Amino acid sequence: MSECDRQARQDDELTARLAGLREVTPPPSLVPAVMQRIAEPAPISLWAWLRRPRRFEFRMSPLALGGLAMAGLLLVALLARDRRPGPVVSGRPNAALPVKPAEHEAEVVLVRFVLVTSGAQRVALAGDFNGWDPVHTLLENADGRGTFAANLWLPRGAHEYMFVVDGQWMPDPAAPARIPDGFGHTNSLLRL
Amino acid sequence: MTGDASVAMPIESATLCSGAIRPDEEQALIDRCLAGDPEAFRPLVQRYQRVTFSVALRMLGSRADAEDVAQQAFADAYAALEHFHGEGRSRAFYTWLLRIAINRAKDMLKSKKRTEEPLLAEADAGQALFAHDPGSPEAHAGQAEDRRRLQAALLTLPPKYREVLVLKDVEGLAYEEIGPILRLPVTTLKIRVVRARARMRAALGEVRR
Repeated sequence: MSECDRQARQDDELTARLAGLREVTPPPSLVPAVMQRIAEPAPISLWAWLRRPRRFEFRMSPLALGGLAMAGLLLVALLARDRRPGPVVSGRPNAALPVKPAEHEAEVVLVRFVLVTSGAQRVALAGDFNGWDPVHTLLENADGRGTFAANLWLPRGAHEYMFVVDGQWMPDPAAPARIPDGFGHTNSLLRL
Repeated sequence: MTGDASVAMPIESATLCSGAIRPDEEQALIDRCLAGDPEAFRPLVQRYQRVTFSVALRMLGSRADAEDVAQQAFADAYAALEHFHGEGRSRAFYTWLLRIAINRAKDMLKSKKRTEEPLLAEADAGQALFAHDPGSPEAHAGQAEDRRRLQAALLTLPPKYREVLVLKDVEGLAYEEIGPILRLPVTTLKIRVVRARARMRAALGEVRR
């Protein structure tokens, strides 16, 4: 008998013996346990919970719906009002002038504010046109030697304003007019 | 449930010859499960409980672990039924379920690191009560001893050899069926079976000494 035949016979014997392991009786509890497990609701993962579609029902009376619509219209009107052009700033003398707001063309005037003050680091303009904000409407040191300037589009009418030099409020020494601020000091007044 | 009982009875009697199953019958049961009727899964569990438990037992060597793995395999299969595509293929569900069972058994082997811890006495404990062959007590004792040796030798093999022997020689699956279960080409499987048998013979020699 060749080596190959001998090995084949050994394989056959081994296979026959291994086939004897097939005779297994599963525990009687297996089927009931499986059926109990699949009857229990599977735990839902967070991702599955987030992806699960939901139905929302929203009920509202016609009166409340009308009120909501009115509130929406009011909000839109307020937002539109807030989008009216504010002062547009540019301080450099050789720079292109700030873009004139497209809306209300006839109602705005370009004004150049200038303050000459040596040694100042930061000069801002605060007035009724920017809510007396002492920070954000900055004048540029246009010549680098203390000539601070800003060009603004302002609506026609009277405007009170002040300069804020390194945090100190001061009136415009070249203002065409001044007006008491009601607290013992004066604001600069500009009529357009 | 009268309707289920009439379906379940002939299937239960076929637990030892799971090859003779109509794919359309299985697919009908799966469709019922997917439609929200978990009770339709019962005939499938009854039909395949023996092979699932057997594969897990031969891989793990412990009846308790094998029952856990078999339960988990069925539960996983049920949860993933929507991803099963039998497409009318013969024994498609059978091979799909065995793949799940083999993977769960290997997961347990990894988690317990028990590859070198054979539980010799446990694997075939209780089998004598259920043996069907009417042989003599001496013959029973001899067969039980041989099964114990074989199981002990199986557990000394690395899982990659153990799984091919369990599927090919214990359960008698064709290479074309084992390929999708282990995701290996047939040529690789044939080589692995030859090596696994050689290792098994060597292990049996060691066990007998």
